Amino acid sequence: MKKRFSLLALVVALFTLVLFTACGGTPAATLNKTELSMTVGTEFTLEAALTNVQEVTWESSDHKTVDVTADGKTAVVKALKAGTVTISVMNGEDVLATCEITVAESPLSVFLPDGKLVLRINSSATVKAVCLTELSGEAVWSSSDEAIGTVEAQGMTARVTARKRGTCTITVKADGYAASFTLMVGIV
Amino acid sequence: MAAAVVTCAVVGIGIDSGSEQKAVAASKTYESYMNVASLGSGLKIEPTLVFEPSSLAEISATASQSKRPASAILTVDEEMNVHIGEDTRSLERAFDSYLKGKFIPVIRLSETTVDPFITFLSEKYLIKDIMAISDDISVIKKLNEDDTAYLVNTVYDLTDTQIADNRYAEWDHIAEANVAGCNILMYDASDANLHVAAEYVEAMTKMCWAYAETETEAVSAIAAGCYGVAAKSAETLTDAVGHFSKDGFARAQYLAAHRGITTYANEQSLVGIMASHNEGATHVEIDIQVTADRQILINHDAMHTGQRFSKATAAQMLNIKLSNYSQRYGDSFASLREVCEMMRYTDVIVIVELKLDNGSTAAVDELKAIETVRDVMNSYPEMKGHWIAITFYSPFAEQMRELLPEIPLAYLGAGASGKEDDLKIKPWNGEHKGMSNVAGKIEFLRKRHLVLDEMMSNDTNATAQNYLARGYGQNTWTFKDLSHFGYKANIATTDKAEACAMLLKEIPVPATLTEAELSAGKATVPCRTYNGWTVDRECEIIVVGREGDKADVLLYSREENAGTYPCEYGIYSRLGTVTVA
Repeated sequence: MKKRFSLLALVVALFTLVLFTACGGTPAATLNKTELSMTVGTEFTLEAALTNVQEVTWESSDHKTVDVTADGKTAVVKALKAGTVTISVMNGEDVLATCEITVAESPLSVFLPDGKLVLRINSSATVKAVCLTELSGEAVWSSSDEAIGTVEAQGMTARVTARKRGTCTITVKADGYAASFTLMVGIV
Repeated sequence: MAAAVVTCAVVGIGIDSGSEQKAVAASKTYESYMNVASLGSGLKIEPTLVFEPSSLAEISATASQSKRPASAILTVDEEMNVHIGEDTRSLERAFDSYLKGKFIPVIRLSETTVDPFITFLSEKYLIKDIMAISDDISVIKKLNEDDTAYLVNTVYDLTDTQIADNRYAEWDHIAEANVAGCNILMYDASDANLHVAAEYVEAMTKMCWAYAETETEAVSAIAAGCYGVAAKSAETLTDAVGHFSKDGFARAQYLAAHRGITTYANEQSLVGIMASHNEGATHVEIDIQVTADRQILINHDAMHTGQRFSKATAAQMLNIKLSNYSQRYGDSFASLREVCEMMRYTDVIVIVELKLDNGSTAAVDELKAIETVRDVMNSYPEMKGHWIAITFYSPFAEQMRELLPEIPLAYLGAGASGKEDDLKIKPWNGEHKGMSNVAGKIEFLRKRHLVLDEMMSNDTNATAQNYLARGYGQNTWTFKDLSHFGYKANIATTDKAEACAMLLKEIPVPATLTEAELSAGKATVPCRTYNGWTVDRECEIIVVGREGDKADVLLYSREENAGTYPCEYGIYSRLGTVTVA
């Protein structure tokens, strides 16, 4: 009887092992890009196809070069400056997948020496974007917070008007390139 | 060219016999500078008209007209005889009988006639208010180097030159002219790129003339912004000017941002200097100082918060934070190298005021400030053709002529105001003259290859046409009130460049206009503002000529900005050919 019980226990254990292996398996991830070229100011959405794992974390080897904002299986990577970084999809301490990103300087830039414009409330300034390559599309300007600063534009030239105190980002995009600067609005 | 004294001054001021120039010895002297009359057009700055008469009778007939050219081109032989069509007279007789007090003679010179002309002026008959034209820059240079003939205002004849579409292609000619002391460059009015040369030459303080074969070409030259137009016939020229009856400018003003943009940046900071480009200024004016370690930094005063630039290193000065625009506290002084790094990507011309420790002995001799400036400028070849220099201090002006002779230079006359008293020098023997003394002023400028830079005053307004006719544009004065925008000036320096950004700058002539628009004499046209925006404006149409469905037209509009800074002026388009639909 005792011998029969042991055999049953062994069968159950083997069955459990087989079942576990079949249902869980080794966690794995596959990215929609393993190598990516970007220019400063642009963004790209990486998507991970996950196997045997429900939740992952995303990491950038250099957040000052490429920042990453994760949302489950997807992550938006934003190129901040020229350089090379590795974006990793992590399961705890384990690296499931990587994407090598090379960031080049954007040919599109805004003609401001230190990337910021400081205006008093209700005042305006003209800013100009320049592009080192020929553009086929329209330049599109936007403000991250129109309550603080608004932007009217004609092509590569924009008039930025300060509306209320605070800080926002003014961005120009054209042909997949992007450039931005910080608008700081003070008092008076 | 033996020494003697100047005789019988009529209007002009005699040359100081104690100066480095030899005094004149001509047996006969005419010192008067002719007053150039208005043409009665609506143009704020009327072009100088120059005709090339075909007979003596034409000169006499033209002289009797109230609206007439200021100058007449004459060709001389080696014996100084003037040949005008079938007529021949000695230059002396031609001048005394036909030109004196009526037209400024512009003598066409060549390699073979320049020496006899110099001899004529220095030994026979010194006519002070005389000009010369040549396509040979060495001829012009020879006049300038002579002890007497340097008085001759000169025109560099480039009518055989094809103008490129790139403005900087003209820099070599401007540089040659500067070195030779020449202020006027003359091109072919039929050149499709005349406007490119006119815009750049005059931005660099020189005067652009054009030689026209027809009335249409003359209109085209005026509308391209040329400050002088030459043609065979006086009638061709006066008829051409007749198309510009409305009050306004033939082309956009040059706007110099005084100390950069200062309403949202620290004065003379890199941000403010660069913003002048964004706001549409054509020039930016900056002041430079030299540090003890021979770096050039940008600042108006020789000291800042108790620290003297010439006694401190650049690193020490850069620790000081700028704060006149409090919201950007933390900026430091820009360096001339940083300005070059940024502005080389723009077409903005940099007017560098050589403050440099107020001309101190330390700056001039020990720190060799002008050598340092030259080294910085020369290390940025992309900035070639982007510089104008001005200074209150004669030692710097003298060194600039020696070390950077190709750069247009203005002396602001500190000696006259006493600013140079500390230097214990009497700059240039006190020869710096006020604007009302046209003769004295021009002779002062001629002697030292200087361009004109004056504060706006009644004198400058009243005498601008006289200076213009001789190659001197009124270059800068500083205004905050935009109602001054419409003043007659070549380069207008302003503390409110950003407020000018949305003002009307240019009226491009469209490819087509309708018959109805032509009949009505007006059309709404996309125009451009100083900062490059497109704005629709109603324009008046002036038909200069028509053949079938093609019409040569000028468009005219007025800026009537009644905003924060009221401002009013008119502006013409270039001459354009439209298809009438």
